[in-house]
Amino acid sequence: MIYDNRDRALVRNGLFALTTLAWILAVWSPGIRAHHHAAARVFSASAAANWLLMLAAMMAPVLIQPFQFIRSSSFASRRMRSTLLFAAGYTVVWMFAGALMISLAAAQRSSGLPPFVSVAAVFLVAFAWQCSPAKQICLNGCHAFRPLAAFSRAADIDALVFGLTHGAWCAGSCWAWMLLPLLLSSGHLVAMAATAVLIFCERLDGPAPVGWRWRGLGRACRIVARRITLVLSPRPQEVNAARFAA
Amino acid sequence: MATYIRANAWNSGGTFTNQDLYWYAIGVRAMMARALDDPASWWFFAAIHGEYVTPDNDPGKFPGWGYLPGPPNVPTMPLPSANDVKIYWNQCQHQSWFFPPWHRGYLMALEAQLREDIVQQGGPSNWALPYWNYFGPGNEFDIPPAFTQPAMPNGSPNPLFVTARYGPYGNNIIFEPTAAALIKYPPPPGFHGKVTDDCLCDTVYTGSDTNTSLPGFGGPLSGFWHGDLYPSGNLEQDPHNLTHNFVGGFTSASSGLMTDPGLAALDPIFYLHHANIDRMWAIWNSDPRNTNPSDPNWLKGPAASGEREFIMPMPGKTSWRYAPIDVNTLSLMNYTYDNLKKAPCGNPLGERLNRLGVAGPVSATPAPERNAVELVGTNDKPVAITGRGTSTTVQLENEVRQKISRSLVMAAETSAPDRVYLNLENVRGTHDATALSVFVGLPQGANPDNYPDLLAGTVGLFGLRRASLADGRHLGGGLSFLLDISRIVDLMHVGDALNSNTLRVTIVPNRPVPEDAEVTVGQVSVYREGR
Repeated sequence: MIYDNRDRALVRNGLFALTTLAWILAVWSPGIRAHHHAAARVFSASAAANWLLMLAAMMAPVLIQPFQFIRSSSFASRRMRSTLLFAAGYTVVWMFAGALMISLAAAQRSSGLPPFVSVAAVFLVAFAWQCSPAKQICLNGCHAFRPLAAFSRAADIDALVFGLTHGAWCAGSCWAWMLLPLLLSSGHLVAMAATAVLIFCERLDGPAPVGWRWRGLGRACRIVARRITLVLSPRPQEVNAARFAA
Repeated sequence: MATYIRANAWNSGGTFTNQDLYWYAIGVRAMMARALDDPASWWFFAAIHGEYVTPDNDPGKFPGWGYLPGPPNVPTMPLPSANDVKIYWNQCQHQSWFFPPWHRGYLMALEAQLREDIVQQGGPSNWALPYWNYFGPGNEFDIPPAFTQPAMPNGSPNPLFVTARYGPYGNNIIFEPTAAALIKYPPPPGFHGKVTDDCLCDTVYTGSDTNTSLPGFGGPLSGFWHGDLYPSGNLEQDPHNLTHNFVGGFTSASSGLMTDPGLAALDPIFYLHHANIDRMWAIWNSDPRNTNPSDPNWLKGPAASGEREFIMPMPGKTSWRYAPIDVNTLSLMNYTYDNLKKAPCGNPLGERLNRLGVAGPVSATPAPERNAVELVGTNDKPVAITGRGTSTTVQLENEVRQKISRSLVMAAETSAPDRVYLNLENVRGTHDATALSVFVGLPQGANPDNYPDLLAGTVGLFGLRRASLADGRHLGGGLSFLLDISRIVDLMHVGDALNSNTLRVTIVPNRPVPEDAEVTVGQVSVYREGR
């Protein structure tokens, strides 16, 4: 793949700006702050809007790579169109997933189960999913990009299908953690933020063999540890050079 | 003065009278005598580059290490601990800006181990790895004879001799097909794979300028693992990859060890080839215009970004962790080469403008490209490479094509004609030994041998099998290649042939691809890079 550096920067900065704006709106949104925004009314228009806002806040940073890829695979005159089609496909998947999850959350509320039981159960499911081979299959799917058609209707279809498939892998990877904040009776925003951090960090890892293991924060922790080590104990070049001294 | 001076393997005729080669053989023999799980063994070092011996990687047939024709007789047991495998093995860096520094450290670590063995057997304490300069004078494109003799002068088996090394034509004549070599060994029909040192005229490590095509001399910006989307850097593509393909070669029964990253470092010629690649990096750096990246993400290596670190076993059961900053100045490592001269470079922009009919002197000082990159066109379906080659049509977008034409027309005023690239993506298959020559604008039914001017370049599929595996570590997306086709586009423009919205691309394997190779090119596209 061959990229236009300025367009890459535009995508990166644009999506970081979008996530920042979305977080600001989320903090100020009474629906999201009141946590029961969605569950109370089963995916009403306002619940859908709040879900969309949550999606923009949490997912925009992990869309940098696919956005850059699809724009590089498109004629300059079609970049915006392809980007929007990809985003539409991606959003449609997540809106369906959102409707399902909000319905589940609503069902939990009306079931009479103590909230902590549901939260604990979903937390365990999310943890198990995080360690599962299925999670790795979804994460590998999130990293997989294939050549796209460039002309006319075929380009539109490819952009839309890429959005749909990427959205499906993304929803498959993240659904359990995304469900958790919906069940909380307090601390909804904090849970959203924690989930967003986990989703961002786990995408830093490249593809990996499918299997059971804990995954998600490894590379992020290594980056922090390495940076601290380099600050506290820099290795001067001479130390390595001395290995080969006569 | 550096202690360790790497010298030309062709000194003393490239035979065992060359003491560097003699002691190399002695050191290799000592390392080959050790077990697979010993970090000081030849086999362990080969696996640091790549391997097909662990259960995760052994396919149960060639190229599994248990299925290679010997010599060398490659052990498959005992495997090291899982932790040693995870830390040390399968580190090689390709299609990455870490390609030059990782391999430099790899050479130095192997050399340290060899030196220890050599000294123990009475050899010189300042022994250094010789290099094979296939661009040297005379017949230096031939592999040094010390590598082709089954026995050493005293009659003992020669550890430098390898059965699975077949050469560019697959006839066991091992040479590098440089321009000079192709006179001595006339190529068979369909063979177009000339190897060059053109990358030495680049002036940018990562990126482009008027002297340098994307992705630059050293390779594209990348992490330790970087997906299947990026092409090799210019040094890596030609001569590095092509040398692997052509020295290894293939027959109907087998491929050469050098053709696959999981086998290549089993062949002792590997390290002489890489010593030459490292020398070319040192030559490139000897021009004050040519600087290595100053980006901390390069200097501090992938470990600073939370990825695997570069780590090598060292003599005395120690290990050496390094980053590019540790190896980017050869003299600080107490190393040098006996020859860091390069042929003078031309003025690529001046030559382009002359080709476009622009008269007058042009500054030879490289100017940065603006790197405004956009898609010009693509073909519509994957291309299967079979037999003697395949053609496909790239449909060009009319307005973008006209932008290229305008930039060429305006070259006299702007001195900035667009660069045009051909991008082969999603190249997949199982036959790493394949090299593909790519022709642009070849008339239908024409014999490519008669149109050398339309040859855009040759790419070696070194690493194809691994990049095509969907095994988790790789996504099966295959390899990508970028070829600068500006010269051909200039010729089309001057010949009034750049007025069609289609571009015919013909992909010709240098030797017929075996039927089971399943080499496909997922997409062929054209990009422009303008200012």
